[in-house]
Amino acid sequence: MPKYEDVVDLYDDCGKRIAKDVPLEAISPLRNNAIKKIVSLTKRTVAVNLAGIEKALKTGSMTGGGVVIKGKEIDIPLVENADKIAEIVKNAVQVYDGDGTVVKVKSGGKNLVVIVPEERMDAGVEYTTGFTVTAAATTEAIIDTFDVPMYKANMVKAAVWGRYPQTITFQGANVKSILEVPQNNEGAGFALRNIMANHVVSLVNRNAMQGTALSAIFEQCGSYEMGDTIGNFERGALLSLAYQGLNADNMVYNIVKKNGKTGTVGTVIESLMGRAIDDGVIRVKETLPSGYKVYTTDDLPKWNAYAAAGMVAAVMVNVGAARAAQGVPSTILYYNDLLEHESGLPGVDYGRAEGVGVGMSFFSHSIYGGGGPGLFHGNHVVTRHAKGVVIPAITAGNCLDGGTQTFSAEATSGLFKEVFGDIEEFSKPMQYVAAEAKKVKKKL
Amino acid sequence: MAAYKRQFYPGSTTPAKNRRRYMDPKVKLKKLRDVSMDDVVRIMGHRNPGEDYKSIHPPIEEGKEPDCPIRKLVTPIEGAKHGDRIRYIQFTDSVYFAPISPYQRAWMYLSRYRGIDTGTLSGRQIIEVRERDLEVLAKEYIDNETFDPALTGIRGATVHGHACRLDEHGLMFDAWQRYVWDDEKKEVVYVKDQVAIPLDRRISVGKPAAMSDLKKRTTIFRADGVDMRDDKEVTMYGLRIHKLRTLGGYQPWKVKGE
Amino acid sequence: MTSKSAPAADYAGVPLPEVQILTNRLLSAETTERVLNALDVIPNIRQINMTGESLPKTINSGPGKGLPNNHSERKVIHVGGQEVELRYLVGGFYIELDVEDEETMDKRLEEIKEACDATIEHGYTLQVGRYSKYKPTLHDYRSE
Repeated sequence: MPKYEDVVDLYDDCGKRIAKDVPLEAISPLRNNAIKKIVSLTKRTVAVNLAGIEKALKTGSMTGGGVVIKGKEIDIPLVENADKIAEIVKNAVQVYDGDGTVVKVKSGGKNLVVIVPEERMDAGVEYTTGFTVTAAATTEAIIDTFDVPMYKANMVKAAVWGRYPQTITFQGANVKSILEVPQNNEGAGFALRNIMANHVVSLVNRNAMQGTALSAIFEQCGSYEMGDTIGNFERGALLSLAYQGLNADNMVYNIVKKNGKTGTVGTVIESLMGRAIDDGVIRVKETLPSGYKVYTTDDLPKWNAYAAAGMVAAVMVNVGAARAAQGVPSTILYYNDLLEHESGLPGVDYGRAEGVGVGMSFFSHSIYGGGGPGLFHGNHVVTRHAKGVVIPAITAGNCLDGGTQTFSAEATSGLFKEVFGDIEEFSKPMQYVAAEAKKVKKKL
Repeated sequence: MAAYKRQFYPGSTTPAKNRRRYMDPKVKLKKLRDVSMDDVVRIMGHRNPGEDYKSIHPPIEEGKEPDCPIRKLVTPIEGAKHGDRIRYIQFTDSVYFAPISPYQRAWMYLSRYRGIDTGTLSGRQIIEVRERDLEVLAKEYIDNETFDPALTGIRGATVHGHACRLDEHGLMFDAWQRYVWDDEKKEVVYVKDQVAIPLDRRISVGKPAAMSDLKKRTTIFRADGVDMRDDKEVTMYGLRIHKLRTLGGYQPWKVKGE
Repeated sequence: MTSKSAPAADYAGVPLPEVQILTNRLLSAETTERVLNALDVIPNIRQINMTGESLPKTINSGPGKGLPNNHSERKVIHVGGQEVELRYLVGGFYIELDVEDEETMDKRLEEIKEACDATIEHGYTLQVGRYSKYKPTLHDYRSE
């Protein structure tokens, strides 16, 4: 028996139905294996920038902050020997044959992508295993392959790991993980929320629907992990994930399609209100003397999910028309305010999204001193409050940028596109989650 | 079922009705003056009239954008197609019954335009758009009824003045004196651009409206005009949203029919 | 700040009264000059302080930073034969009266009202009280 009565149809990024009558539970991170795999790969997948290590060793310029260590430069051809290094790394990381370890050479040897086996994750409690194991294996592979002498070996460590442990983060490291170090998380369960919108933009190759989906998955998994979606709160989170993230009932796609050519944030609200009334989610409570109709609902979490879907659509229409990401925070802010005035019902995340829009407007414009909307994540001081629903909208906006941002996804997260761009769990999460949802449905 | 029509805002007082009117894209706002496009460009100061638009990225060509279904659905605005820079105009609105106040500008812009980024700050409202689209919008909002020569300022920086007393000619205070009173013509004339760089010609934006007229046009609730507390629908709305946000933040599943 | 060494302004044994005049509009330099000259002839005025909105000499931010502001109201005016450099668009006067009895004070108040009525076109509000500091306080000892 499904836990919740709600069923949704899932549609892909092109508005095509890919799963029918899916019970809400089937997209729960606790049940859906595609989501579990995305989370698992997020922890286990790590990029090694061999070209970066080679350059750092050759010049002595390493660990960030303009540090150059003279006199101990090492000139070794790592990119040329990428296959060899990859093999050694694989042997070191792998627990047994067929355990799921992957080490692939990318971009003609400039990069390696390493997927660490589950066995190693299971034997520890921290997600940093992916990074540490890969960094250590790479360090050892380089030292062994090129017979680096003992007194120069520390240079290899610094070129690979960066300045850590003198710093809290792996500053200047040439091994990169999608996740930040745990010490940078604001609190319990923030790991999956501490992923910059730009990283997601890169992972989905600028596909706004998939970006919204992947960010929604990360954010809602974060909500699960921090204890936010327990008991009665779970249904609300799943509804938001379905309607905002996974294009349930084709709502986001349809609203954007209807308003894409000439629409505004205002017309998106008009479409959303129409849809919510037609679907019986909201109804008129009373008509005031001026003719203003006060709307009410018997299902506030569902209204919230509808509002969240409308918010993503509003960003797609307004920011999409500008092909400029800077309008994301103002769209989030005023969409919610206009929607509240239109309906007499609270905006996304019961007002929190609107509040986040105010702070983010300030922090993402030059009056504060820089930083574009692509740098925001669910761990950021101004965006962390509206859990689950704001970051997907930010990612959507950044996917649609036409090249106006100093802090573009290419600039901040280019490596992720190059290295992870063809991992379909990341680039096409909508299809993967829907396929798994169908399997869960049969079990329920 | 009939398509839903927006209702915008509650209330039956004049400011409430005016708010709805400005927000409704079906209402064509009255044009009160005609400042030439070249003069609008001069006042904004981002480029010289006749000068080419500078671009920030190559033009957007269909089929060459990243593969994203949303890009196929959402048509870029003209300036985006050309890769224009994003430039701004910022209006300061006096609390003394200016035709519109900064926050309502955001509602109005986002209900009437696409492809824009806007923000409310203390006493002023900035709007950032691709340059060629901005110019069209800027001209419209300097020419139309939301602009009053005396009580609306075009100010890129040092915007202080919206809550200051007016001067003896009834003009909103401006420390940089971007506009002056022409006592012969009884008109307001811009002598500096929006960041106070002197203009090489005087640009008239016309005669200010009478206070009695402005009180009918404004969106501003004031104790010495229409008090917001006298519009029961508007105050009810504020209390209602506050209550529902609070209940929703606690146990949303228990909120039924509120 | 009030200096500890300056004599306290309480010649009559009590703080001297101040007349606060807040104008309904900000005054041009010309009007300010007229108001001050009309007040200047009234006896028992110990000092007049003015407030208003600051007018910078140069453009102080943005791309035009450093350019002369050339604000028409930022200029030297003449009061009682003396030059006064105006740096504000004036909107308030604080007139300290050196009076020892209420009868004199009321008389001076009437004269002040007459002067203002004749020179301030758009009206003003007038109150009598004490609005500025007249003796050192703990803060002045602390910050020395």
